Amino acid sequence: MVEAMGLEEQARLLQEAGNAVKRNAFFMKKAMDEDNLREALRYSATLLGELRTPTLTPQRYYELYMQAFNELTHLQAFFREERRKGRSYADLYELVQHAGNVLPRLYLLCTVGSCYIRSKEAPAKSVLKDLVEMCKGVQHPIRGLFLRSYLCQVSRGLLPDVGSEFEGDGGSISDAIEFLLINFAEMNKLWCRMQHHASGRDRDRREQERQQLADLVGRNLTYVSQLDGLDFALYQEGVLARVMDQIVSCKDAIAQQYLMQCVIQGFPDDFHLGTLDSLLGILPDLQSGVQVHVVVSSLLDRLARFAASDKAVVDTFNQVDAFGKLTRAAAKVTESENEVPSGDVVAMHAALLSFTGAVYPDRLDLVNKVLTSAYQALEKQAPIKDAKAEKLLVQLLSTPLDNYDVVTVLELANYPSVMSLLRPAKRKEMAVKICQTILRQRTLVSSMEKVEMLLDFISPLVRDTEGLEDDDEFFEEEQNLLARLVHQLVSQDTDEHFELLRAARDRFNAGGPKRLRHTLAPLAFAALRLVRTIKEGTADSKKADGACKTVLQWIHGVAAQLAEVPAAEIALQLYLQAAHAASEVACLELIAYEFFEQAFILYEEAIPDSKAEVTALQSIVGVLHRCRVFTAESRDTLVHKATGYSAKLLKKPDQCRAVCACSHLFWQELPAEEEGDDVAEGVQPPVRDADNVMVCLKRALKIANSAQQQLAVVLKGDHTTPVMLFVEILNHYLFYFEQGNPSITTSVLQSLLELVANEMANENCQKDEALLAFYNSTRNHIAIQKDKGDELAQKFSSLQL
Amino acid sequence: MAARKRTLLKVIILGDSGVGKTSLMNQYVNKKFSSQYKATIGADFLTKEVQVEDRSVTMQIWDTAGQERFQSLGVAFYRGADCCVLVYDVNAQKTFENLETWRDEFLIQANPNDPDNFPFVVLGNKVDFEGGKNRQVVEKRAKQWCAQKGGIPYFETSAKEDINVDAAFQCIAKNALKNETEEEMYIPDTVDMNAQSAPKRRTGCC
Repeated sequence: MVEAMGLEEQARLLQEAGNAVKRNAFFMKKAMDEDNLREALRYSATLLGELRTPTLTPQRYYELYMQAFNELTHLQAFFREERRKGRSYADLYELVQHAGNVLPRLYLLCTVGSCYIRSKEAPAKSVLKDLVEMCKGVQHPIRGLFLRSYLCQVSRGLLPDVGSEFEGDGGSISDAIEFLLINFAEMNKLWCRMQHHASGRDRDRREQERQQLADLVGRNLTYVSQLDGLDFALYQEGVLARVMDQIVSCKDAIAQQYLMQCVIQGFPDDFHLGTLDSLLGILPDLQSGVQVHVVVSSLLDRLARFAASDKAVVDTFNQVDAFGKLTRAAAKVTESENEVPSGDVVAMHAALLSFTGAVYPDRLDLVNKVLTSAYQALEKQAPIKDAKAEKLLVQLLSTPLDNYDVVTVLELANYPSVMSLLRPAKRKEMAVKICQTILRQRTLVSSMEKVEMLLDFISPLVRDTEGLEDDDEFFEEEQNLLARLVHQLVSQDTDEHFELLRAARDRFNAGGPKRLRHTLAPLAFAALRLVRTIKEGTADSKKADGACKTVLQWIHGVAAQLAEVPAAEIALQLYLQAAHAASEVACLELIAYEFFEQAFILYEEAIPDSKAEVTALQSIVGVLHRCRVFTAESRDTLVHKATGYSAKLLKKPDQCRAVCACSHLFWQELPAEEEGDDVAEGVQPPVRDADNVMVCLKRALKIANSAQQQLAVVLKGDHTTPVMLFVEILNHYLFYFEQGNPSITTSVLQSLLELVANEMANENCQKDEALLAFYNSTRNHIAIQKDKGDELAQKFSSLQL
Repeated sequence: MAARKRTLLKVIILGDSGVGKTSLMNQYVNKKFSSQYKATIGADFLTKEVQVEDRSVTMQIWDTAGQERFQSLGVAFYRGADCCVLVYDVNAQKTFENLETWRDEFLIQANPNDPDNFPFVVLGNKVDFEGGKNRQVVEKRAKQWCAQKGGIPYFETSAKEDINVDAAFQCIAKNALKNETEEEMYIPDTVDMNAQSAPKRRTGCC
């Protein structure tokens, strides 16, 4: 047994043994030169005696072995020389057996043996059989393994393989296989026996040494697989059965683990496809220490690559039901071993999934089966906390997203259940990834079934998840993703489209106010777009009206819900947009009025501060200005309300500007010419109320004046805001003047111009660059209008700057 | 005996799993090819007699496992190599990128006397594959790398179609022979003390 010792000690021992090999080799070669066979053999035996060292670790022993091996090539050459001089190999074969010690004797025997076979003095099969039996004389594991490895090396190319020159009299392929398999079995026995030589603290070291020696045993299988005559039938009947038998009967976990890998990697793919039953059938018989999932994953990876390299082999996969067999094997692995770490289970399923993707790119049902299997295998361990398993699971879930478009992935009914195995935070990450993929690919989700699935998939974004804090920095970003996603829920059929939005809303409701703040508005806007689609796409106007009404009523509900979130400002904007759509798209006056009413109620009751009031009022006036569905009476009420609000704003400049804006409520644009007579039913003629425009503008001037006085008292008049207001009012005057509003005559405009010029003369105003620029461009505008030479220019001509 | 001429050239073939190391060797030595992938376990060699510049030498060509899991015993066999053949698959970028690692690893483990001038040969294999449609490494790029490494000879080969295989190995043999360093001569006198104490019978020499 190799005792524990330091690296230096090992190096020293190797050096010593190496020197002894060199020394004896020197004398061996000298004897050869002197043609002294007896001495040459004696020195070579002494040289080989160094391989009896009990102290070197396998890797060091290998170095020594290589050194001896190199020297033995000289001996081979010498033997060939001897034969040329008339000595028969049979003779030499006898002669070398006089070496005193068994290990050198057997090395020499193998060396002569290889020459013997090459010479064809004796049939290859007999010599091989003799050698492989004689080697049983060495039962020390390391020595025995290297001796047998030498036997294989020197007999390489000398086996009676099909097509080999040693076939026929020398034997047949079955003799070659027999030789290699006996050697394999003997080596495996030696290798496994090492395990029992160790106890307690030596065990780890012993196992490490065994791992190092593994290739010597496995190498036999490479020799077998490289036989030219090895066809499938021979493999199935003559090789696999015996190798499997050896693997099972050795009852050694290390050997089983390694040799299964050797079989899977060392033999060709089509052999595996033909013997899946045997390969997989052996798995339950392996020792409990064997990591069966690694074996299965390895086979899966290999077959996946095979399928990817040649599409034609998929038929073979089908014929042997490769998918079914492998899936069942995978399931069995997780059932039989209760303690399979989650990472390994996931890794195996990831291998199964990539196998499925490679072999059956179009078979989504199979992908789903793999997911089912993964879920069942991991269910008990959920949530997956192990870092490696978690990472692999995310990768596993990402694979379908990368391979198919998301709508296709939505058919994977078991996808969400596999997602549920993840911890909440990871689940949410997955959901984000799904959303991003949809948005990046611009995928449209068009059926109810798919939308429901999608919302299942991304539920961590849609609603609270147990164990997950949502108030992190990404919350808003995530909700924005969800908001953007709403616009991907689109169906060609408007009824169905509406149903999709309703379904989404039902799900979003579960998300609570903090999510609804982000998700309701996009739903309503998607619905507004739908109103337009319905109106434009439905020939039957009655039917269109009905459908629009339904959608608008629904939007009404959404806005009301938003107001309660509370998100009054967004809700108010939504009411206004809906009012505009009801008026301009659907031409439904009552509904438009209702929306305004709700907007006004919110304005009065729920707008939090004066700044928000200003913004809200601007929006109200802007939308109302553009609505043409109202009859005079309802319009008067709404306009009256809006102007009333203007007067009640807190700050004078805000009041002034709001009143100016209100003036436009009395002066609607004329319909564009092409519209002509083709005005939709229910659209009222534009309001052109010059008197009320004038009333508003005058009031604006008054407010600007009083603002100026107020500021003069408080701030000693160095404030330019009131003058800014005057210039703004002047611009409104100019607008109406150009529009041909009869209240704005040249003289009215002229006097305002002079008033503003006066104010501008003030020193403070001359220092205010913004004001100056605004004023100058206003004057420029007038100058340009004068120069235009058209009808309007004439009107402007009498104005004096 | 000092004139014992070295006639054995040791050549090591390295490269990633599946690039065709075994196939190249089999094509060269046995004129055989199989398209089935069979991982090589451990390392072993084939020999071939070749004529190089009027000399008859034996080339010992070591085929190695590309898969790390089948290199359990380490790489003691690198030692004493006369030439190292680096193989990659022209249809797989990664196998080309890994040449650097294979080369470095070889130089560390084999520890040749003059690492800067140790003969390497690079083979870009599988040039026949799908008529070169899926090629990922262009010849120019490979040659550039070879030039950077001190002018390593480069061949584009196909073990399957037997393209350039003989030419490549001829070059390998030639370079291996050029590298031929004096075999470390063992002279017993230098370890006289040892020799005295060794329980071995000495024949009268030196």
